[in-house]
Amino acid sequence: MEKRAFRIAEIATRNREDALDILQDAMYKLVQKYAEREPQEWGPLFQTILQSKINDWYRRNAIRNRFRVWFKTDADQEQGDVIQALEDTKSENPELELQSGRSIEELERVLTSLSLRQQQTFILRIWEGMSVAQTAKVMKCSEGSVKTHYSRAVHALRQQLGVHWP
Amino acid sequence: MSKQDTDKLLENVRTELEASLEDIDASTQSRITQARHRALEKSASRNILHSWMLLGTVATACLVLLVFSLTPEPTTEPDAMQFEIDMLSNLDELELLEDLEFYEWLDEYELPT
Repeated sequence: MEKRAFRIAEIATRNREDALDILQDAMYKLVQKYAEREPQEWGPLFQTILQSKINDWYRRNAIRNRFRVWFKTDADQEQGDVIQALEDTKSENPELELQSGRSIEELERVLTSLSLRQQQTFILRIWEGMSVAQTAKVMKCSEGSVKTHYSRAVHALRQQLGVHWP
Repeated sequence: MSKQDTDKLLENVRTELEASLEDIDASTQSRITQARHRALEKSASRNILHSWMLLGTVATACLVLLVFSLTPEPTTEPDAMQFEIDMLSNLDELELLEDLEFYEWLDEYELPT
């Protein structure tokens, strides 16, 4: 379970260290708050905590990036956008990725291009095998929103990956 | 893209994601295991701390109760009661108290003898 949770966090954050931190926080909260619950409840509870931690990470990062823009010095500007540079390392040539059999990288590239909500919905539905109702409960939104996010995510994947993937 | 193609694509996505778990390197796997152990340890140490805090609170409450139960109660009420009993048992003094104003007046304006 924890390996899958780590991958979900890693895809969402695109950062291994942050993903490990999120994973540990989520596991700690599960043990601390819900150890007394029935074992069959742990899975959905853990996903709820994990998604909540990922949302927190996004909010914190958004604020941090805003401050980074405000306090950007001339030296930083000369060096270029650090975040942009990081993103560039991920966006390799899709054809090369396919040729080298790195289909997972192509998939990750598409998944990270989705909005966070679309990405979360898609992963919970496809990978965790959750129903619309379960996904809505984990994401604390309506079932209608889940259907919309999922549909858009599938549409994006269809368009970007195509029939011949992987 | 037909529905069949979409279903196939989604199945492939699931397979690729599942396969990516096997690609996690040993170092990261070790860190994931450590993270789980740390979470469990942290929770266990917090539980121990809570147990000690609870034990400390109970012990303090017991000590306070013990101190209160061993401390002699103030004796003002029995003294007052004793004074009343003494006064009632000595009727002469009761007369004195009843005529206290008279004796005070007498003391102030001493009659010529």
